[in-house]
Amino acid sequence: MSSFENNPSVKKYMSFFDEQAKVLPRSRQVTLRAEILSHISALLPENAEPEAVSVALRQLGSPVEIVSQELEMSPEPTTTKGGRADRVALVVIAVLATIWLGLAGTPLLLTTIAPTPGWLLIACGFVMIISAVALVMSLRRLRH
Amino acid sequence: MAQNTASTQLRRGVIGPCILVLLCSGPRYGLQLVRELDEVGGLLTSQGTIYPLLNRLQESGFVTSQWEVESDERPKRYYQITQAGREEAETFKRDWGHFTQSVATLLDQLPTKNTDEETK
Repeated sequence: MSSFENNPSVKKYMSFFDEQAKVLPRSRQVTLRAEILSHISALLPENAEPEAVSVALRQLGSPVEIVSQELEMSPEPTTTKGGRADRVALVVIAVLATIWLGLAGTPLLLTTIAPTPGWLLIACGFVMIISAVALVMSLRRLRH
Repeated sequence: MAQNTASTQLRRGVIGPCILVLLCSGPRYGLQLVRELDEVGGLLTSQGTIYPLLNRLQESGFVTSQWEVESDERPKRYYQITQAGREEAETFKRDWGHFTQSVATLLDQLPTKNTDEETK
């Protein structure tokens, strides 16, 4: 780490920047961070006085302002028709998987009442596994 | 308040093309561009906001960039203009002439109208 990065004011500034920049895509966070640090490095001489550091950071501008500008410049977020259709499809998959899970589980419950063919139990078990995986994956995608 | 909003919008509208015009004369890194913009004054609200602008220009295909390391210094990201960027800068220079002429004509009329109202 360069000497200016160890400066308390710079560390505090970059920590605040990192907090504000969380709303940005990861790759953009990394690039913008590198550019800000490069900018500060070019602005400040080696072992700059605290007052010079404060002036430089003031001229650089608040991380809030920089991130706001970045968000303003970014393309529209993908809450488009395509995005919504994907979410609807995932909900349908989750519902169907739940229904199949229930249906496939019924013969397993019936074994307590009456003998059930082995092949049926194996088939139901297979369907239950597939349904459970589909349900879990669709719920995970919906959460993101 | 209305004037501040108009000035803000105006600044936002011209800052990108102004950066392209500067890059027409050669590649520059962020702080270099900031200093040249500061020399003419009033175009950037704060220095750090130039980086989102440059990113947008790059995404639009008007500039490209590369990181360069100079001796013991921290790497700097140099921006250079593309052909599309040059064409955009040329279009801006042409349109700006018409735009300023139109606005100047309108503004010239204002003192005359105010004087007429005062004498009534």
